[in-house]
Amino acid sequence: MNQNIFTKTKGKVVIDNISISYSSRNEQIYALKDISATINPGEFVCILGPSGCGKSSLLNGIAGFVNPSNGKIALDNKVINKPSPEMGMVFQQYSLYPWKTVKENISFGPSINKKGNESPEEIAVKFLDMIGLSKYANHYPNELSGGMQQRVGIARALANYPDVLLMDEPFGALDSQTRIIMQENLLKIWREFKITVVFVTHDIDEAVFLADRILLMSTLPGKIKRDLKIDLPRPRDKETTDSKRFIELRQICHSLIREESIKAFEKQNQ
Amino acid sequence: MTPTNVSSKSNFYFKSYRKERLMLWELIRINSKTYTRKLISIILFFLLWEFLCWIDFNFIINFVFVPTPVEVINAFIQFINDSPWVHFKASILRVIGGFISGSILGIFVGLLIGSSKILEDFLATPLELLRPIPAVAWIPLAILMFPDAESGMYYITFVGAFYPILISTQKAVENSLSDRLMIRVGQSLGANSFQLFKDIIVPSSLPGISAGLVIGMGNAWFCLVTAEIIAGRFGIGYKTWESYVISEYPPIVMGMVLIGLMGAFSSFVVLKITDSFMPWRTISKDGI
Repeated sequence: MNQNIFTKTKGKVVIDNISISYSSRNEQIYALKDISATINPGEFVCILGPSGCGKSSLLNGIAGFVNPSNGKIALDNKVINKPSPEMGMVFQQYSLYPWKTVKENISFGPSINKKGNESPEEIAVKFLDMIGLSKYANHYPNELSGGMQQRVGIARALANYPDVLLMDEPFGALDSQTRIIMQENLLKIWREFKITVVFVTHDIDEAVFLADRILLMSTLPGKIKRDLKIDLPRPRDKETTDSKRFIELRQICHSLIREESIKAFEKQNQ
Repeated sequence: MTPTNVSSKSNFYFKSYRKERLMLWELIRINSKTYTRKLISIILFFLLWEFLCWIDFNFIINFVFVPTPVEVINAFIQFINDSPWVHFKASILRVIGGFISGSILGIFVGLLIGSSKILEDFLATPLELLRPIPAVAWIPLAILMFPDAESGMYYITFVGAFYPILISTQKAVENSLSDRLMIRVGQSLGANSFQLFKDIIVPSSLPGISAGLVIGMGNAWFCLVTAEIIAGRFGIGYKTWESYVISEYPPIVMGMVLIGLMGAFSSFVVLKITDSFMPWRTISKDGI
């Protein structure tokens, strides 16, 4: 794909001291407070934290769905204040349009953006081939299994050739076998496209297996507690998960997360 | 119950994905038990009716003047032999005219007030005030306002079809707009407001609009009969009323049955047509 040469230098996300707050019953609640981070072009970053820590809020902020109450987020020096096709988003399950066929779901983005000289049709065919679902081009999403639907979701987000791929617990609803296969496939796609990936998850194994860097979040208000570099060799496969270093890194995450989970649990009970 | 359920369940095992299209005779064979039961129920209904007439049943409800099924069938045969097409044509044209104009305007206005607060503020209140007015109440004004009785009748049929279509379109659009995920997906793919409306809001509102169209078609028939009774010279509703005026009872029941049949048939047609716009749906009622 000829765009890859360029995307290596594009896709830098700078999160500059942002807070995101919601007002609920006349009370200002901070989902995130004073977060700063830089995500480099082509980097695979996982945002890991217990549920309710604001990791989805952070992703929605990067995607431009939510505007931070202060601070700013920028993609390649351009401030993000609304969703844009430069950032592809993969949602949790069931986000495909049920009234569009698999192929139409994928070609929807290219058909409204129209960049490059490939037709939306050609792009859809190419991405269907990449995710191995060419046979299901004319099927509707409800005729597909959860794993297949999510592959289409990824293809749909990539079909716009975004600089950044944002993923919000995309494999959370899948069974563990499918999940592992999906993770391996995602790494292959990431290697091929060399795009920046920001991946939100609460699954420690998933984060350690996938990431170059894990941003570990603390709860209420959400902050980045630890910026952890994952120095496992690539390409990663099944053997990676058996290595000593993997288990060590997992252990570190585990103890940090556990602290946070207990804290969150106690706060909710107050 | 139908074999389509089986195939939708097998999605789980990644096997056959296409809904199987069954031949008509296969469907009949599979559903033959149901059809037999339905046939028996209709025969029993007619037998009961015949019986009540035969014994001149008269307790609270009086069957003395009610024509028997056989008399109704005879009236129908006579009606068919006696140039029925003027009546059929008049009624069907009025229903189709009222229904189509009601659908176009109902869907159009429904989409507007469903998606825009400003337009809702401007349009919804007067429409809501006019809505509860029954078709009969419109007749005098329709006669005064329109150049001839015919266009007045079209108008009354239109009113009947318009409101259910309007309300269900509006509610369906509002419901689609409440689905934040679907809209976010579109925004993240780069869709602007118009593209969101055309590719997301409208298709996801189709099931609701379809329900409105089916109800609207039924209402068009109710209102047509009302209109024809007062102002018509031809038409099935007119024929029914005329028979009452000249004390000829069997054609009254015949007219009622015909209106029922045509109303049910046209609603069925509307349902089938709208379903063909939504091929993505797999409905399995007994597999909940």
